[in-house]
Amino acid sequence: MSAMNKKIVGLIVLLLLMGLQLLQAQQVRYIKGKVYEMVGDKKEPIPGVNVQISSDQNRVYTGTTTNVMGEYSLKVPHESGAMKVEFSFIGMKRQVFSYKGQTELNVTMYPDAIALADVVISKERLEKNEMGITSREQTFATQRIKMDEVMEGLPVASVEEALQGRLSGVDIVASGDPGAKSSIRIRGTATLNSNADPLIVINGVPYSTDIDDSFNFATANNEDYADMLNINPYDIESIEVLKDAASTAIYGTSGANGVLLITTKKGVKGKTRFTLSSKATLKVEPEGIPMLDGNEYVAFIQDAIWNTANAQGIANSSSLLELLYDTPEINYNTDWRYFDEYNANTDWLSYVTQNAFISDNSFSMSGGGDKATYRFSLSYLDEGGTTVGTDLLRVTTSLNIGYNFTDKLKVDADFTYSNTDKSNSWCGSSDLRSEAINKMPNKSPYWIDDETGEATGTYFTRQNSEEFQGAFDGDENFHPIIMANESYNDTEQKEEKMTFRMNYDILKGFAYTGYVSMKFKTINNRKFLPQSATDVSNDNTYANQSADLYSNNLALQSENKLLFRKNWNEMHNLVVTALWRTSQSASSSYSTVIYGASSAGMSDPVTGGSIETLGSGNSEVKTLSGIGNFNYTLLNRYIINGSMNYEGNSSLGKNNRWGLFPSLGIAWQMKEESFLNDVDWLEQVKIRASLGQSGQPPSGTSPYVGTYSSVGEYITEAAVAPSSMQLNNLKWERSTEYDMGTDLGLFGGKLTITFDYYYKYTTDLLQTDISIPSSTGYSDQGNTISYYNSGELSNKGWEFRVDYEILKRKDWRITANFNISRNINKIEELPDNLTASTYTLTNGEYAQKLEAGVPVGSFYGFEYSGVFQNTEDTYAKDEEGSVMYDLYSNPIVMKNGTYTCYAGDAKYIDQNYDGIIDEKDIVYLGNCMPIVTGGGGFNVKYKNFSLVTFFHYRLGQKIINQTRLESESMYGTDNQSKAVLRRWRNEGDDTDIPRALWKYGLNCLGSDRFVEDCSFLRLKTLSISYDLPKTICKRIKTNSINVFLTGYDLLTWTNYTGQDPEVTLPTTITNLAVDDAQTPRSKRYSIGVTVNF
Amino acid sequence: MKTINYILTVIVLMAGLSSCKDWLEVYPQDEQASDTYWNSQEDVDAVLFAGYYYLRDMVADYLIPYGELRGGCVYSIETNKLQNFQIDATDEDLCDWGQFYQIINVANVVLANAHKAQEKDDTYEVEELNAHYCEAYFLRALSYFYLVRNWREVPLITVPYEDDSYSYHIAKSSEAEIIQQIKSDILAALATGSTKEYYETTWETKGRATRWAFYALMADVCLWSEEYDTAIEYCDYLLNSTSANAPQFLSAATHSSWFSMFNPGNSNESIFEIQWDYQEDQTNNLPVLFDNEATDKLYEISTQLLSDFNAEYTYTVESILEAVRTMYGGYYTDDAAAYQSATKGYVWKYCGSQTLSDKRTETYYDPNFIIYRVSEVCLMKAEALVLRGDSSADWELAVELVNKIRTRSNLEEREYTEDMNEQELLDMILYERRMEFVGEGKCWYDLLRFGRRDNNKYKSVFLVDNVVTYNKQAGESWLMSVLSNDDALFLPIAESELESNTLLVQNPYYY
Repeated sequence: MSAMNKKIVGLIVLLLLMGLQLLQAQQVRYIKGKVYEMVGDKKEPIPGVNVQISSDQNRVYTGTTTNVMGEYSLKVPHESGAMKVEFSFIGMKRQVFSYKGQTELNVTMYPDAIALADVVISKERLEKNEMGITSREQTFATQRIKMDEVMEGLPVASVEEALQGRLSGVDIVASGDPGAKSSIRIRGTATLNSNADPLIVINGVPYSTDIDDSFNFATANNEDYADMLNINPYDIESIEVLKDAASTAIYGTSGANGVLLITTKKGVKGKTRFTLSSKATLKVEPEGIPMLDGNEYVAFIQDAIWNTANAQGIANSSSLLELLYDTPEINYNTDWRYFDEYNANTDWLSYVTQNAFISDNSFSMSGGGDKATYRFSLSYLDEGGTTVGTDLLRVTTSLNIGYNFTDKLKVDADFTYSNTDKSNSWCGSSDLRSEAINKMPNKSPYWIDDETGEATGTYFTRQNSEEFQGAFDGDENFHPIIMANESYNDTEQKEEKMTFRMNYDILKGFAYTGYVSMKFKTINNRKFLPQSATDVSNDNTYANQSADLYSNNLALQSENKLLFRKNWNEMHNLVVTALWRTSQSASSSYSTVIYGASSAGMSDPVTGGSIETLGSGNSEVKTLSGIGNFNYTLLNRYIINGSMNYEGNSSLGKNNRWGLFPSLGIAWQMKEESFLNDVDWLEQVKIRASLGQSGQPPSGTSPYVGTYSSVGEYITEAAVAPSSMQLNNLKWERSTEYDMGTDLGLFGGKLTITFDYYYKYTTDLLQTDISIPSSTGYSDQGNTISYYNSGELSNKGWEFRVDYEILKRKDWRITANFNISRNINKIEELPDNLTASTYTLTNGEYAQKLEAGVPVGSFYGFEYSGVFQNTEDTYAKDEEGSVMYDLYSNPIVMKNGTYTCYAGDAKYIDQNYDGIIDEKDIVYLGNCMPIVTGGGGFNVKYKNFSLVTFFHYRLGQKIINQTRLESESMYGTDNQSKAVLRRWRNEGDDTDIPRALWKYGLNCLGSDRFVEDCSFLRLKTLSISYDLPKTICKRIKTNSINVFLTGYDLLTWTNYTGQDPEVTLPTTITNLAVDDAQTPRSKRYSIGVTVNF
Repeated sequence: MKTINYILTVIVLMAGLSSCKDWLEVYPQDEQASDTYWNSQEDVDAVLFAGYYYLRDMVADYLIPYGELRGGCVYSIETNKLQNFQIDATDEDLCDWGQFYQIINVANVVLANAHKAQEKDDTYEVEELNAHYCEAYFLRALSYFYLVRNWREVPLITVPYEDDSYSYHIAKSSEAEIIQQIKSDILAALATGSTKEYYETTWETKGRATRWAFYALMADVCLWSEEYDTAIEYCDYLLNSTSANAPQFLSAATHSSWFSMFNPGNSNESIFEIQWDYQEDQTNNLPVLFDNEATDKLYEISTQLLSDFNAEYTYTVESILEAVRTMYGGYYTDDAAAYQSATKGYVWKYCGSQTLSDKRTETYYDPNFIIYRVSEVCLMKAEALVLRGDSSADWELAVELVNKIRTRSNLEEREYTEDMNEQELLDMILYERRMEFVGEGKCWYDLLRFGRRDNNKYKSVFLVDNVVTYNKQAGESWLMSVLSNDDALFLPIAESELESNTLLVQNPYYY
């Protein structure tokens, strides 16, 4: 560690030294003179002319400006090489003289004619990638988004939001809560247990957003930490997506899930420009699911208890009957002291949801001259959440400075700092919403004034074991309004990042680039759970529980790259790159949880309360990689590209630490062939094919390392035993990807089409927490090993994208774009020692299975077929549909598990005709992977107006509607949705909702009843913007002013019955995708202005 | 300038490219990496102590229930599938062999690595290294002996699972192979000549494997494998030893002498016992489990054993002799004065204090658990003598050994007569073992050994009849029917084990 740190520090010092030079004391020489301009035919002195002495490589040694008399005087530096003297002034032609020891040099300047004429750009600048390869020479597909085009009229708060639906093959599901992490999947999921997020590269430097596994926060949810990119969308110039293995090869294995390349804006030469933009947005909370009101709830509970008493026989139901008659919460007993408080009619959800505002302000300043350019930006975002208690505040600033020492040597430095404050309630917005939905509606949130019958301002907190819904158990049964208003879960994240980069052209066609980058991130999370929200006793660990969690992470990265580029007679073109990259990331964390704190501010363990848990953690990961890449183009049309990545990772043992990942690609620019030369409507035809390998290492600090640890003492002696096995066989999860595609440009580039087909096969899948036999002697560790390579997975699919400029006139411009992607995920081979998890019949539970031949994220459960209408209906049928009889010729009655079915109970399909619904009747019910995803839209520009629309769709995916499952389960004390008013009561009731039961029966097993198709098409954005006319801008001394009005998520077409079909996928991909009352995306209306001056 | 830049560039490149072999070696900060573990003698000691530590961990949950419950002399007052013979593969806790393998792994790890520490530690003599190997052999042999007596066939693992270079999937080995391994471990240890006769402290001398423990274990194993000459040979090594450090039979016929084996423990008679010490905050719940007044009590002695004990006690009371292994020795009842009408009896060994009828107080809840003591070696020798059956002298000597035990408990001597047969003599020994070692985790293994030898020659008389007589926790016909199946005498393999070790086949009877 320290050795490498020293190296990095040394590297920085060396880079800095490069700019300095060794001065030697020698004889002092001066040059002086006068500068004139021709006014008419008379010479007049000009003040303020720039005079510089520089080397022949444009490295400036010294400089001055002329005085009012047009005179200058300069000390000539002692330099060995050739020098020149330069004179420049705005509007005048630059004059350059070589220095030959003159002591006086008088100059006459002439007006610059070109400056007045139109500038004609003769050749388009070729954008080259990190490897010095132009997009023409690429053998793979990339898609680039110019952020200015997105942001124009479509200002977004996050990068993910900007990208959603725009990139083919990139599936983004954003969350409805402010600042919550979005899930991004490029070409599906190719791993089971390692990180499936794509790599984000900012200006060539990989940026990690994940928190690694070794973190051990006692109470914190990882999602609070794994945060979105703390980067201001206004600072981004472009985003490019790399999908196939051949294209991501140069980023090493961390690019295995695809790469998003983000390029930020840089300072540009010219006079200083300011941009100011400001946006205000209103978020409107969508309509909630209608729930039972107070009276309906009481009636439902009584119905449920009575049905259950009947079902288990009155003789066995004395406790139920007691419950029915002696529970004042559900009875009309005016003498009871809380009578008023339990005869209210409360819509709990409305108390914890709200409409919210977002304000987003951003400022930037950029400029520079021949030598140096700079850009500075500052932005401030305040996003309110539609769930009460959620909020996001973010300040980001960035500074970019570029300096050209000479024509050959350029350096630039980036500094960014961001501070994000995210607020939530203690339990999180999702639990808060479920609690509000489940709360009994006949209970009042406030004490009722006995005299007036009106609610007072004092919270009614009665949440103990005698209460009908029971006492607080850690995540349920609390007062939602107090939780929303007074508890907190605040995360403050500070991130500083510095990158120092150098380019040096060593010889013609031979260049060096290198960077060092440092990122320091600290996260502080404070949580507080007020006792009033839970009503627990003072000695309970939840009483005024307060948590303080702190973590920091230091990431250092460096890269050295040599690039060679040569062209022989326009025949052969060769680009060769070699690079060496290092990265290391070290984190430490500390957490304290106390209870019994006297106030919300007392989370410090020293000042008060009793300690509930203390925790700390450390982790470190290092990687090294050496990558070689070549790209050869013959006759401008036949392209071959190959690369080799040799990468080592500290999380793997010596034997398997280094992995070799090759890739190869070919492309053919068909348009260059003679037979297509005169096909005018064809602009470009490119056919590509590539294949490449990549890998995934296990995560965490050296998970392979075997350890010994103390097990205790034997009398006076320490006892030490192996505590984990050394995993020398642990190796890279390896994926191989094939890609074939074509890029077409038609009608002079008006229509561009890109099509790709890919197939990605992953072997040696990393499995976590694998069971090993106890005969290995690791019983105390639960007989598991942390990682094991086994199993195979495939992803195949295609992507299609089209961009069309429909119309271009003087005043009109209409463009449209559309993309569609299909990904098929399949488990090819199950991990060999995967043990089947046992499923016990439980209401609301779906079976967890991994099965070869089906996609990851598949649902398993029962097939629901409505309600048993009468006793005959409950008889078990055989394959032919005839009733089955037992030994005594009595008809066999269906059983759901151990419960005999009665009329009104849920009817599941008895797949094996044995008369019992059990785990043998579980079938595959679909999966959460969409069939197709994509987006599209059109932009219309008429004079100063522009209209932008964008649609996003995901079709054919399924989800478990957990919210509906819970609100129609009729099992316990939870409030239910209005749908249960249709519940079965009597024979002949035409309904698919079973009868109400009280903590009895299996009427809401995990079945297809709650697995819903959540396909949707959504109008993501609709925006109108207007550029104020130049004349008005000039009058108020600005360059341009743009005002806009934008609506987000205005329209959604879906059959999904939940609140929002765009459901966040679980971060652990083997978990099931469920919609559990996540904050739905709200409709948002924005108004904003952008000013340039 | 150009050249300076050039040179600097090269330096920068070199800095990055310079070999970083060790740079990727990152170790967790909160644990000791196994690569860097074996450095000194103390490291080896610490791992061996983990073996004893794990063994100690098993006493209350495994060694006592496995050794006692199926025999029925001591029974659990809670329903227990083990004593009902209703165990199946899903009773993971009851048939988990993982703890034994934990000890085996510790032993294997020491055998594979201790030499590394010896190479690094100058003060670590070869003699000491060999002594450590011996202890590892002992722990491994003892664990396999428990495994083979409970499961009959188990995977035989002699490689260290320190890393994943060995397969986890290991098939079962036969009973004979395992017994062979146990014997070769013992012989390998004894062959080094480095087995210790004693250690520096008393608790170590009794709590770690000494040469005497090897002899006792070897005799026990040979009795199991029906090699009676060898058994006698190893018993004699111990009983006839002239070494001042050899454990000695406590012959004084007094209660205090006899009970000193259990309180304070580590007596002269002890060969190997598992150690606890309240002064080191290491206590156990054995006194609670056998305490008639504790709310958490678990074990009682069966009515038949109670009446056996009462008969012995009556004899001493009537002969005005001191009760030694009876009342407040081996057993006690709720009311000692009215013992004859008592319906419940309990084991006194773990709850008794050093004064006759007082119980241990909570501070002193640290009774040791004896695995071998000299009395057992005497009875093992007697058993071997009977079975060798060479001469009537042998048999006479066997009865003499039994009487040695009885005399010191102030009980009447057994008489040897010419017309006695093998079965009668064995019955005499079995009775003596039952009374002497009650609660010491021996009963079930005795029944198995007596019943299975000579191809189940005495199965019905020693195994089935005794279980039916003593075990009243299951119906007689059920017991008869289960015990008639030889495979049911052994435990099933836990289901999770079958899933994660694909080469394992469930033991017959539990398919």
